[in-house]
Amino acid sequence: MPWFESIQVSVSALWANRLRSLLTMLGLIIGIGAVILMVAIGVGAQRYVKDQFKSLGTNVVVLGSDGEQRKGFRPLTTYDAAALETQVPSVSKIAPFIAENGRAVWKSKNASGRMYGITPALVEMLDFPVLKGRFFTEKEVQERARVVVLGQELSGELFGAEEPVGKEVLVQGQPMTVIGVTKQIAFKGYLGYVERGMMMPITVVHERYIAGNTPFGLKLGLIFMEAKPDASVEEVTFQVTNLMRQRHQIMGQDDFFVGTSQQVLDTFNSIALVLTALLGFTAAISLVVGGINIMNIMLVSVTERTREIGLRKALGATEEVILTQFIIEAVLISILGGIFGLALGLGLAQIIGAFSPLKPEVTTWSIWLAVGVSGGVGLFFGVFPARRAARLDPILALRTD
Amino acid sequence: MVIRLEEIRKIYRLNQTDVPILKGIDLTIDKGEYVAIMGPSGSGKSTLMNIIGCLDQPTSGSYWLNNYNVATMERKFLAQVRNRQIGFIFQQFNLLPRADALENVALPALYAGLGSKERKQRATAMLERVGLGDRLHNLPSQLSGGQQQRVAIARALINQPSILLADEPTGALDTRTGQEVLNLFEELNQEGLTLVVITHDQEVGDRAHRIVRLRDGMLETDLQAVLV
Repeated sequence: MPWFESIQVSVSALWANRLRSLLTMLGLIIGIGAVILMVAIGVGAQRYVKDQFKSLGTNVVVLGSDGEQRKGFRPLTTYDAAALETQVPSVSKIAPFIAENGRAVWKSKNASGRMYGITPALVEMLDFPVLKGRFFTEKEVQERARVVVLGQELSGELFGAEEPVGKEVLVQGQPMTVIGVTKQIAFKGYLGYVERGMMMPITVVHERYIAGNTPFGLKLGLIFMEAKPDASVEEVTFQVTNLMRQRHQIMGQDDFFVGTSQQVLDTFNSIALVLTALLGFTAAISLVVGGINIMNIMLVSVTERTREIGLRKALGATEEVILTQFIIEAVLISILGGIFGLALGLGLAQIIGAFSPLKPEVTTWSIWLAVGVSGGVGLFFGVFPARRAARLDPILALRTD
Repeated sequence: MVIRLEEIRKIYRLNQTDVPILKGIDLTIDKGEYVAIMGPSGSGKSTLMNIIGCLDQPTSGSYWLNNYNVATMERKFLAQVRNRQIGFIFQQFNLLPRADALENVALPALYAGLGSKERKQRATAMLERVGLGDRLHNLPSQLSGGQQQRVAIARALINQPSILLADEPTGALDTRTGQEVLNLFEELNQEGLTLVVITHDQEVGDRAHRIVRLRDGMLETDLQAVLV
């Protein structure tokens, strides 16, 4: 029997049992949909982070402490910052940074968050958005002005619908005037959760909250640096490393690290890749379940259609013809299920994309994989029921009621 | 000679004991004969029909169908023999419920490898032959029992078989429609078709020109009717 005739017979058999055909596909539809969606989310997440980093700029270099518990460790200090500013030629801007957990109180409400000691240079470098009010100035840093810029979430918890700017809050029991509200900027791996931040002039934080006095100056958490427009990040990294080794008299291992946004991006990408693979793999398990579902229902279908199969054999259908018919049915069901699943995955990806900042990205390879796998699943799980059908004894089959 | 059965034996193994169903049947049927095979249940007539219809093979003996020894044929070729040489008619009609009359009749032609145009042509001609030319696209559920059996007869005839093999063809029909089917059989036989009818109904048997009686797996009588 020619192929297209076999396919016609299978199609009409599937169409005759529309509801059951659809139910048979269901497992596979969900499985394929899940794979498409999960991979799309994974890829979308990678893209999301990449875009966030783009806004940070790839010309920012971060200097931090490393190996605090080692002998001979020296923390980063304000003196280091001053030295970097004057002695590293490729750096255009420098921003010292220190942070500590703290608590803010306003009237009867209190909220915990993170105190940041920073300078306007950091605000410029990382481009903090001002939702309300303003950031403090260089002058206010020098005058140790008791002002604070709150993260949006923390501000909301304290003030609710009330206007926060101009109010006086207690930060760790010390009164500070709220001058502005900011929000989480793009992924800033080194900063932490800015939404719950209390940003104050670094001088104030050093004076009132973190003593940090060392023989080498006031302790710092991080030092952010921006490369000059004509200088590369590599140059800055090299110069900073050199200077810091000198200043900290490093003989063996460095007690600091120099990070770039590119490094963070790379790290994140490798994590995201593993996560995407993991998500895809989990979803792929549901494909196997979908395949077993196909096999189950095909077996039921063979039992139910015993009489039909017997009749076809009595009328001259050979074992190969019956085998072919049932395998084609299984493969058609799977491929159709794959296509529906694809539509489901694409649809869900669209919906998620419309309601969240994360835009799932459906990749071509995941589509081919889904369609290929579904066809393969149908073939693999269709063979067993089809063989059972082909081997039915026509006498017994015709006798069944 | 269309059918020649020689020393046909069929033994089933049941719980490690051999149960002989057919105990050496010798039977020849010539072209154009109209034979009824009769016998009480358990006489082996169903087994004999399955063997004649190439649905089953004998344990020993030989079966010549149109000078081919089908007793030793491979299953793959048996399917072809069923397709080309034998037209089956069942008690329960056995039509595909979701296919219309035309598609049901055309099914054996599909397995014979005919093109779709020729299948349709032949199936239409067959349905016209059995008087259902105006029911081509009815589903079996839209046809009466007698009409369904006539569709089944058209299906049995489409590949121009050597014999028409009917198993209790009127068993599911009332007397009047049963007579109609038997009238059709007679017409076909007059046109030269060889007919073998398996039945336990004496009235059905009496319409045939020869009655072969089975009892306990053996031929009891073989009576040629006297044509008046």
